[in-house]
Amino acid sequence: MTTEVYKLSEELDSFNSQEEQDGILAILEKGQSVILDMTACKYVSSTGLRVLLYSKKVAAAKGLKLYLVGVSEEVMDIMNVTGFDSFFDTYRTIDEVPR
Amino acid sequence: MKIPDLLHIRESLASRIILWVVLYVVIILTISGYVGDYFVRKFIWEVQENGIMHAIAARRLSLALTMVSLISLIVLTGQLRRLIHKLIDPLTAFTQVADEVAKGNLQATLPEIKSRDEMQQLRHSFSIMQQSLSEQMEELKQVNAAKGRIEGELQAACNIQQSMLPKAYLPDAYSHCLDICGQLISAKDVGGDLYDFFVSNGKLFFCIGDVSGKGVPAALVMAMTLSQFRNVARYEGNIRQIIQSLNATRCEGNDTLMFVTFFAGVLDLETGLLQYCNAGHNKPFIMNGSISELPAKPDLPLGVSDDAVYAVREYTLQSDSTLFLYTDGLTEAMTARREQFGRERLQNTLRKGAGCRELIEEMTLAVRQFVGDAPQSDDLTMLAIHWKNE
Repeated sequence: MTTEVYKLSEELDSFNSQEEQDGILAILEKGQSVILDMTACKYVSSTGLRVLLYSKKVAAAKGLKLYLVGVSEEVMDIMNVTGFDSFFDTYRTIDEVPR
Repeated sequence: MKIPDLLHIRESLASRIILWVVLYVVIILTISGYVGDYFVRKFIWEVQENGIMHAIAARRLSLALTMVSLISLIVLTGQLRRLIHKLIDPLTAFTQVADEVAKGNLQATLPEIKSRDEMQQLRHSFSIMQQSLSEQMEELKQVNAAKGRIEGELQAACNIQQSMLPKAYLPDAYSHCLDICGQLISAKDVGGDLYDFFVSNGKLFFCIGDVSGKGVPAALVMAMTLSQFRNVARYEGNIRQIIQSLNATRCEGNDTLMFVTFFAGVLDLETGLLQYCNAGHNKPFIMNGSISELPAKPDLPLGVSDDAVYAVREYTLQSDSTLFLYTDGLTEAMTARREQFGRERLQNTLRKGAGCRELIEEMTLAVRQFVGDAPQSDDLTMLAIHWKNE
């Protein structure tokens, strides 16, 4: 299964959610799984969570995967508090992602 | 081509003025030329022929010609003045009309321009501008009226939302052991936070939730979730079933993926046994001398996955315990410098210890003082439950 890396910016909230969503979907449209590089991302709002949620649903529908890599402590905290931590496939580095 | 056409006389005031001035100068020069020439030659000849006296007599003709040129000078000046007035007067009239329009009288009448030159163009442009302004003002009036209607409707919707939420615990058979207070202050007219509580068969059912998003879409999901909780909890006593039912409904047709963080519990008012489920919501605080968070590791919020599994936890309340539930609008309330209220300040305010209503009032005050002038960015929702074993 081929994968492509998509790097998220510092924040994922209502301002850039559409842009980031389109970027991720573009990769899925090509039939590739997405490795989401979240090393720069320090904050995800509930709108941001919906982007991740939707991306995962679209990926699953196409038989593809969405991997979250390098999730920061702050974002992991947000995911813990909202119960999303076990929902996504998270890895510390790109190398750890199963290919 | 005729000369007038070449200079576009009919369409150009400037050309007309130039032509008149040229005519003016030419006539003056010509007349002066003739007069001068004739006078000099005649005088010299008369002097030669008849001597000086005769020469002076001949001046009378020249004088007459000089008079003629003087008269034509006056007439031409009169024409020039008329022409210049023709130019200035309409401009003055246009200035007056512009002043009228600026005052708000869009219907002010423009001066009549009979010529087909730049003045006519100016009048035409002015007329178009008046028309355009008039239309825009009309459109603005309609937009404002529509806006007013929408604001009225939002206010009505806000009232409906508020009336869906129980405010205080009304005295009944359990007043001796139970006290509750709930409050929701939405950021916009309508919001996505919710809470509920009611007593049934010696048990208190309660919940608190937060729909992802704000405004009308979140309010719609809020209303659906709240009414479903109420309906299901009235006949279904099992907390897991309640949550799973809510989750199943939220997952159905959830194209916009609006999920709901949700905390629901059942408190046995005789024994103090609390059974609860946490669907991605902030853990409530429990106060009974000391303050701690209720052990409630969050599962997935409602609406994320229809396979989601929800753990039911149990906790036995000590007598004289207060349960404080809230949404992230409280901890994330921000000052203008984007500093958050946070859990520490929340706990410090809880430490002051008070009855349910006072507690919520204290907390609201603390948040308002902290936030200062910054606008409210999220719904502020709190639910306080106090139970005594009596």
